[in-house]
Amino acid sequence: MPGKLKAKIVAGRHLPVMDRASDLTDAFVEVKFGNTTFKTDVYPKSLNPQWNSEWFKFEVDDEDLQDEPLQITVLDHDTYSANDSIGKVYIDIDPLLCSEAATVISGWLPIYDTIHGIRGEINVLVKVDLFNDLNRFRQSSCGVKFFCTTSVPRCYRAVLVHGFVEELVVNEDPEYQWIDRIRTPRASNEARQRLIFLMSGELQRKIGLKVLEMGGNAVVGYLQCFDLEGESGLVVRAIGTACTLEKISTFPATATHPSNSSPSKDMKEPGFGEEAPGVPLSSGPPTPLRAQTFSSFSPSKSYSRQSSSSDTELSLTPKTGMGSGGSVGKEAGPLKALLRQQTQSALEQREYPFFTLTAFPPGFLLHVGGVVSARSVKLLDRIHNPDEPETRDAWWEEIRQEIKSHAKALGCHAVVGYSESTSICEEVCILSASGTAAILSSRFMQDGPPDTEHRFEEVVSPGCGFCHIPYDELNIPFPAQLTYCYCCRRYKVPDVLFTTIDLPNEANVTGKGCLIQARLCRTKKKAQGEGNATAISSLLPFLEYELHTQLMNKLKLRSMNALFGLRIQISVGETMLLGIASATGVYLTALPSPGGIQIAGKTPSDITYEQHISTMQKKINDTIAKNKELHDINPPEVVEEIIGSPIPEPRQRSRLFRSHSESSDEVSELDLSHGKKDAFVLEIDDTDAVEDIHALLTDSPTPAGFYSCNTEIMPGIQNWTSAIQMFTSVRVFRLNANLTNQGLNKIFSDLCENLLKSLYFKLRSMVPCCLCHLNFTVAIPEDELIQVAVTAVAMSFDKEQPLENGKQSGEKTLIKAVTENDEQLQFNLELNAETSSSNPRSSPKGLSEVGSHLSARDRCSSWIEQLKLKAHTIRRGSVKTTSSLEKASPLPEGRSRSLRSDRSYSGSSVAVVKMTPLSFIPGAKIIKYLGIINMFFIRETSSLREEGGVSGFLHTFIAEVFAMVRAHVAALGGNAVVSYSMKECVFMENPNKNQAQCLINVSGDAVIFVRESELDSTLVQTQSATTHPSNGGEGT
Amino acid sequence: MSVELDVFVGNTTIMDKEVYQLWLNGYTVNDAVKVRIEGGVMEECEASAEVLLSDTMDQYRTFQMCERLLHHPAKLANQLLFQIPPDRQAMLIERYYAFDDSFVREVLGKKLSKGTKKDLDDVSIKTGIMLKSCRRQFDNFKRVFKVVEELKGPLVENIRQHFLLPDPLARDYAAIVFFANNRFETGKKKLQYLTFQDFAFCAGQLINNWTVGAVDNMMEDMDVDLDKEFLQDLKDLKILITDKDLLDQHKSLVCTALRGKTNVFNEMEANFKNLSRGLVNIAAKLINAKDVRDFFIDLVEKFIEPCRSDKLTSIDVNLYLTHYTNSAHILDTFKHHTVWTRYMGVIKSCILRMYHD
Repeated sequence: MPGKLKAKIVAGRHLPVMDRASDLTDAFVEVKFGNTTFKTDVYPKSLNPQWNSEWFKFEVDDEDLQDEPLQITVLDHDTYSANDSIGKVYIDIDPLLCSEAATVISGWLPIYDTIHGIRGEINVLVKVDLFNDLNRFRQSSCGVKFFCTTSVPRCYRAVLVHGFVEELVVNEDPEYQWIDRIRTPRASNEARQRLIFLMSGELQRKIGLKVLEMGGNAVVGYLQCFDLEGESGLVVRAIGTACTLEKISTFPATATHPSNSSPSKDMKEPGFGEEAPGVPLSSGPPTPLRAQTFSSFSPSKSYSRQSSSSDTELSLTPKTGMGSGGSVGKEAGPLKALLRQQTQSALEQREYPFFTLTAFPPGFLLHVGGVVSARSVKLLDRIHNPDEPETRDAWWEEIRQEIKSHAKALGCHAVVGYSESTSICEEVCILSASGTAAILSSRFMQDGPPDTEHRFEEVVSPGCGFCHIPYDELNIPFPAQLTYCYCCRRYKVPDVLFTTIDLPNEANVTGKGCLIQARLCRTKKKAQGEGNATAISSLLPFLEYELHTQLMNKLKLRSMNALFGLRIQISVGETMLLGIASATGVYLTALPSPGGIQIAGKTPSDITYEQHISTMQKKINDTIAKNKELHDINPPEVVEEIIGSPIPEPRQRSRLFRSHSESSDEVSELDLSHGKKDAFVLEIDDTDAVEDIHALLTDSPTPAGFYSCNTEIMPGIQNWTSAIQMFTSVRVFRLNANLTNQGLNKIFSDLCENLLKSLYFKLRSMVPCCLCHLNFTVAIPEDELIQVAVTAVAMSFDKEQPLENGKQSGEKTLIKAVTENDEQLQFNLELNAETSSSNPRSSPKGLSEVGSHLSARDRCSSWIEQLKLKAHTIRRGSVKTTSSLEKASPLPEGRSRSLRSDRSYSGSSVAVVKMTPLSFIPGAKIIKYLGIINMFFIRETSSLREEGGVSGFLHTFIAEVFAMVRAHVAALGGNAVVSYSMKECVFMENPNKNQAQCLINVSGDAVIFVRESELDSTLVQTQSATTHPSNGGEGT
Repeated sequence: MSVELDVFVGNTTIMDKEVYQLWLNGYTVNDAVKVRIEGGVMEECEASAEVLLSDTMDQYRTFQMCERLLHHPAKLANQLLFQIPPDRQAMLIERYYAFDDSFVREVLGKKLSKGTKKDLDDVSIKTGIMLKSCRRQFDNFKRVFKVVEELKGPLVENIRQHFLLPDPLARDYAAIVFFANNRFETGKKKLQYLTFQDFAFCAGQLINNWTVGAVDNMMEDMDVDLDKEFLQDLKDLKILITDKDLLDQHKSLVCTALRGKTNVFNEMEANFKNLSRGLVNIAAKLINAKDVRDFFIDLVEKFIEPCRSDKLTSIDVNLYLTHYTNSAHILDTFKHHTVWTRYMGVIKSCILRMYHD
């Protein structure tokens, strides 16, 4: 039902000169929400107008509040002709709709014009008064929190993880409507920006509804994407993981929100961390109403799948179940099987047991099977009815089913680290989905078996458990060498493990990790329609296979045995396909040591040929040795088990291996009990292999002092300093016509390598440092152009302190991890205890109200009052605490904050906003999430040369996007964006016409953080009673 | 095959001091790359020429985008486009407004007009400073001049506040503005031996003692113009040379005080009337704008050169001027003590500063 949106226009600054005669501007502002528009007075002849307007009030449905952005347009008044637009600001008011996020938007926001870029700034104040609505059939989902972060957000704890939520909405692309022929580029761009804003608002609201339906209160790992399908329309789709989160807070508990979730559940369901031995569970009577609360689990729609026309189902789907595994150990008795069945049944009730999370609360992830992925090639057709996006839904459903079945084949009931993507070229679209098949503990799932029974399984294996194979040893879905786990020696593990998730915190790792990338280019013939789609889909399996082989080779070359954060992107163009696979390689202590790489010749008669092979072999061996040293990989086992050279016996030499995909009888020959490692054999005769080897050896090592990975953090590095530098780099490369596959490969590979080299050089002042979350995206903007975009963060670390974790394997780390958990846990409990005692009436009483609110309408008002009252105490509480933080950061309280921040940065009036693609900020603690940032911008120019050519144009645009993200975060009261990503960067140019256009979509979580050092002192001041370890919540 | 587009944008804007300097010095991208390669940065960081080129282009682009902000340094602090730490901002501004002494010597005292700007290519050839850099420096002078020209209050302070410059640099700019405004002649051959810092010092003396602002801070007028009243009063000093008695009396007082204190007493005695006439005539003529321009050349011709030909050391000059100034106060019929002190104070420190090879 209704809410009241209030906006006040305070002032403008640095406005452009709109009147050539006076060199000044007569500016006024239009504030629009939905169909209502207000105007300020004209502030004549100034570039720094002070409007100081009244409060403009919009009374609207909360549904609209979620869907619509507040649109602020700054114009130049002109008496005789039409008013000229200076620019616009779109404000997403979603963060204000959630009681736990921001309370006010206040600050200087850049005024943006799609043709001219940023043109000055405007100071605004925006607030929302929301009347709580308890209508069960409501269409809004205010209050559901969204996080881009793909792990449990830092100041929350997961009570329940409900599962997969997805939604997509489609519309016509304004750029392709007939009206576009008669309107200006500016009007067209603005129509597009606005539409996408609306669509993502709607999408978020719909996802929120599903979450509420499932009983959750938050979406974690929210991933929203746009498909610009051109003529056939515009698709905005999103996936995420529904959760019930509870705030861990130094402030009075704010954990109750108007959600449908049963209050008793919120309290009793043990959350993560509470289960470590020796710590009592939070007491209370067992929950009686568990089953009754939630009636619908299914996150999926009830759209029928039959509607997809047959001609679109052309193709399909190279199946890939990557990775390898071990077996269910013989010791695992019937109990384990039983437990698994129970968990499985819990998951099977969900249509898609998928999780977009990449990091998990301890004890949640039990076993990992390997990477599962599915792709499908589709022909786009016009979306006829935007309200029923059945075709697109059906496409994705198909792919998800396939992923599900892949996971099953690996003996897994869930898929984690799940993501979806598309690549579109003209009318052909490749849909891809990938994830990691896994077995999860039922602990965070609502229908799981009681936790007490489950403990058995946990005790086994904190550091190596996830490596143990989930599938049946006798029924291995793909050929793999199994050995007993090198940590516990009790269960079987695979020889290599590929995953899409982050390295679990508790995993035992030897040495450091590094970025491993496979790159591939394949030419294809120009074709149209179905023929084109068929050609592409027949190329795909080869592409994937090649990428996989490259990854495997590079992994071996670095003497590592596992990949984390694997992300394979395939991009389609008119005359070629591009594939890039990035992952972070590590040496998992639990897995067997990888053997070397062995080159085998097919025709061993020729002597020179033999020589050639042996020099190559030597080169490879040298590289391996060098890499081992570089990454500190010296597992103790190697010495005792691999004696002598990795050169195999003559019998083996003649055999031709190609990757791990040998015939299955080969596998059975292997002696599993010994875990004897065979050399990985490359056959040199075939040209591909030469190419492979060449690629292997041309990867230049990272310069001294640098490390790189594409996961959140680098295994083996811990002592991060607070110096971070997020960056985006984009390169477009023009190819010559008529290149061979090899030539293309080389160019593409060099392009990526050179880009990396440039990054290292740029960031040399930060050494020793690690480039984390290196995220490459490739695209083929037009024929003969390759575009590579990278977003990552460089983080400095302290070299002085010994990097302990690397050298210790096994128990010591393990114990450390456990004790850390313990400490953290105690901290939580203490806090909880304290908050409930200090604020005795808000929690229990308020909760009981919630329990019975459903029927009684008249109680609603009292409920609202209760809420308000609570909000008051919360606010007061936070003010009290933050006042002592003063210098730390912009603070959550609106006006006082902006004033204070102005003063505290005496040198500059602009507050510093950090940005990072990671979910945390080293050396700091996130104390509040302010809401999701999801912004879409279009920039166009028809004076490309004057703006410094394509590079100048894009450089400015990216800088502008950063500036707008920072400004919006600062206006929300935040001082950082975490889990930042640039999801779309579509660049088009027409140098002959001196034109270019670019679309950028970015997202992230706005947060407030405090430095850990400052936090400590604050805590001592505010709550002297609590003692806790300084790194309480900050697991690295 | 070519890189069509290549950009790098950091959340905190990365700027390399060395490249910034090359950019400021007017190097083209390719020349800058050469300089960097010679500097050995490649070996240090295991980079290739290609990487250097890409980095240099990128940095140059960043600087170009920043340049507009650097024209109004106050904007740099509250703009949103680039996130630059305050110390970096200060560095950017300071270096942008830094100038070459050899360049400033060429334009010091010239009208900051389009005409002068056109002649910059000659200046560039003469000084060996790249034309681009000359233009930047010239435009900086002009920009500061334009902003400060109309402002009330102390010159140095105004410059420091509007352009966020460190104190020494603000003082230098004050000197440049002051010279440009009064069009002091500095280019004559006889003045070539003087450095910019010599002139800047003199300008400081003039600004602090001879302008309106020097006497009365509250005055509406500014620091850029000399105090007209004072210049008028200077005419009264003429009595020191026109009145024969006074001149003799002055001479004998000075000679008494100097006797035995210096080796060049005889030369001083012989030259007294000549020198005194020179200094007082300069004072008397300053009311004419044209003669103000020749102030420094007059000082050199009328005082410094005669002293130098008599082989006076700067200690001798100091001694002479001290007694010359003080003795005037003892003269019975000489009444213009304040004007004399105000005049001679500046003259003395200027001459002493200028008295070198």
